[in-house]
Amino acid sequence: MLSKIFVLVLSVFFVISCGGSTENTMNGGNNNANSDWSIDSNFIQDGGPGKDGIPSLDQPNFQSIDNTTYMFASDLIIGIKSGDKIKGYPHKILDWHEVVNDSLENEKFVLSYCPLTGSAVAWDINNDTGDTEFGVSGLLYNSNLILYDRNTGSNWPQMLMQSANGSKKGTFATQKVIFETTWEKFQLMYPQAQVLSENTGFSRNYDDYPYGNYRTGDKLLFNVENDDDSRLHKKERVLGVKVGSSTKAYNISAFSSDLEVINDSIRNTAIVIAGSKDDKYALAFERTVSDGTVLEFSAVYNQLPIIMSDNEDNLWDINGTAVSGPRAGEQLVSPFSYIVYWFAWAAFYTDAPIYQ
Amino acid sequence: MNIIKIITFTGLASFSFNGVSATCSCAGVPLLNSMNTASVDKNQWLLNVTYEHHEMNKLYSGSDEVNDETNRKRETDSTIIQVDYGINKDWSVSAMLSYIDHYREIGSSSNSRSAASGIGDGLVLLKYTPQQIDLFSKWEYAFGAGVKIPVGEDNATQNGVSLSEDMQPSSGSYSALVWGYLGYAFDQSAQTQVFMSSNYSLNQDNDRNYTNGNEFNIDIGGSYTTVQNWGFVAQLRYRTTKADERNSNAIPNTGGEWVDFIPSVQYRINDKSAVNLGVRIPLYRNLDGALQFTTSSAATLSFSYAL
Repeated sequence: MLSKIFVLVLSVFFVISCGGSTENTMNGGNNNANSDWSIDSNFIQDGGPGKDGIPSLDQPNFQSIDNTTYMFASDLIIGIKSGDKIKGYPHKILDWHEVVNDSLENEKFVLSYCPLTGSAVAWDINNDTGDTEFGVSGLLYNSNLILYDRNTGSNWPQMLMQSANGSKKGTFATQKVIFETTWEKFQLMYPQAQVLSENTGFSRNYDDYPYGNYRTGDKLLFNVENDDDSRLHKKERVLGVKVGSSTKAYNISAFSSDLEVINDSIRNTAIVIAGSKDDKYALAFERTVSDGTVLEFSAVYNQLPIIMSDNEDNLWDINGTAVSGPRAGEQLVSPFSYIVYWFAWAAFYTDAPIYQ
Repeated sequence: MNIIKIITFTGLASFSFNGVSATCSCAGVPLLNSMNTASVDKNQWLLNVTYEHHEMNKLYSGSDEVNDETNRKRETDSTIIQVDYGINKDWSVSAMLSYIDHYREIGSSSNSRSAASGIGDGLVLLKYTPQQIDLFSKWEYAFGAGVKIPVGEDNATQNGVSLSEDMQPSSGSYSALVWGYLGYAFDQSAQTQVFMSSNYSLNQDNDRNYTNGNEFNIDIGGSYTTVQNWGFVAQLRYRTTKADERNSNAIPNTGGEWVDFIPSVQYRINDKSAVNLGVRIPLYRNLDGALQFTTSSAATLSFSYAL
């Protein structure tokens, strides 16, 4: 009798096991993603919602500041400026969508924000990326958002700004200058700005933060490299700057309350850092301008969006644009940099020095 | 042992099935809810095969349903084989093994389809039934304890990357399980019964340091068996789970409470075999976090064969 049952059980499982699979290739659509990654696959993880399970905003709606009633003074917002036009993208909407496919002055770009690493990066849509929209792949690398482009399906880790998988593997994207600050200061700086509307077409309660106490706690949701680096609180917001292979992190809460400007250098590249602890922003620009002159900067208080002057009496705004002085209209070059939670910067750039 | 005894003396609750976790974050199948609770006589064998189709397409914020504009389609088909053996009059042992087929698609995207299939978790449970419904007792009660064993596939990949925990056929982790059952027959033929059963699983973490939230279920229901080989069961299930954890850190948007209505109908084919068809109808959920996908419907078909 026992043998009968044994044979029966085995037979049934033989039948149902025939369709079993452990490597899945159901990508669908324009997707040439494969298992060949240029990054450590041990730290690539499926976040759970699936590809496009976190829906990008592909036809974003905007409204005036006066009509924006869902923001509080201390809420964080990302600004992008081109000419006289400026748009604002609140974290509280990006927490739910992570990617916005948009344009400004007829120039297409992608604004990406990863709520798990606190990093916001804007990408030019150009020949490198191809004329494409980006979406949320559902994958994470070191807990950081991996975008995918909808033309080729290639995967692009946000904090690297480089495709790590697919036909675009190895291709770098071009970073656009953005700034992050509080809603209170954003309104003050750019009262004419257009702000992302909460009428996104998706049923989300944007007053809810979807990750519990993640923003302030020292816990992580996914495994990352170098997670025992305790020099700063894991969720401390830092400005990470990378020049060549050298990096430096600037702790935003260590800046002066109103404004602090630091003339510094990374790997022989002269840079200036401007940051405010209370207004929660930090930016990096190269100090060497187009004619080879190396400028020395100092802080300009209470004139937002102007934040810096230099030794030639130019005034510079938060976007790195000279708004008055002999260099009026010039634009400072921004090194590869963005605001990010400390743990993520330390995961991508182990032993990263912190500015003291 | 013949099948009529199973129907008569264990309550038809034995043949109503529940399969897959309602949260999208739980991997594998919580096998205990799928267990056939029939007691078996000494040296007797009982084979049960259950198939369940489970759809998890409802989006909830707390207890409020939210429209899902991504048109997500999430299905799990599970096949569970259970073998029971009676050690003696009071003690029996159950062993279960599952085969899982997960599918996930984001309908609003032309790029998003994932699937994984393979052997899931196994379960071994030792059951003690000191009192059965018989000519001298209208009561039956039983207890059990066991372990869930990760015998199956827990590292299914897509493009070289492990799929999320809820898409893995097996949880990859052990669990300690306890189970209890109490039944009462209103008449000596045990045609009409009421019952209550509950179980609790204490889950361990897997190789990826992921732990499915500990889970508690309690079922209350009634059954009626006709003399023409038909049986009917209606039961309510309350289920609650803690949040899942990774590295001992709670995962947002996992865990919650569910109340389901589970009607089922059973037909006795002959003295040795019976089939059962049941559905799971969600009545209430209060889910943790800001947003969570959960069960939209589930249906089960099972076949029992006494040897």
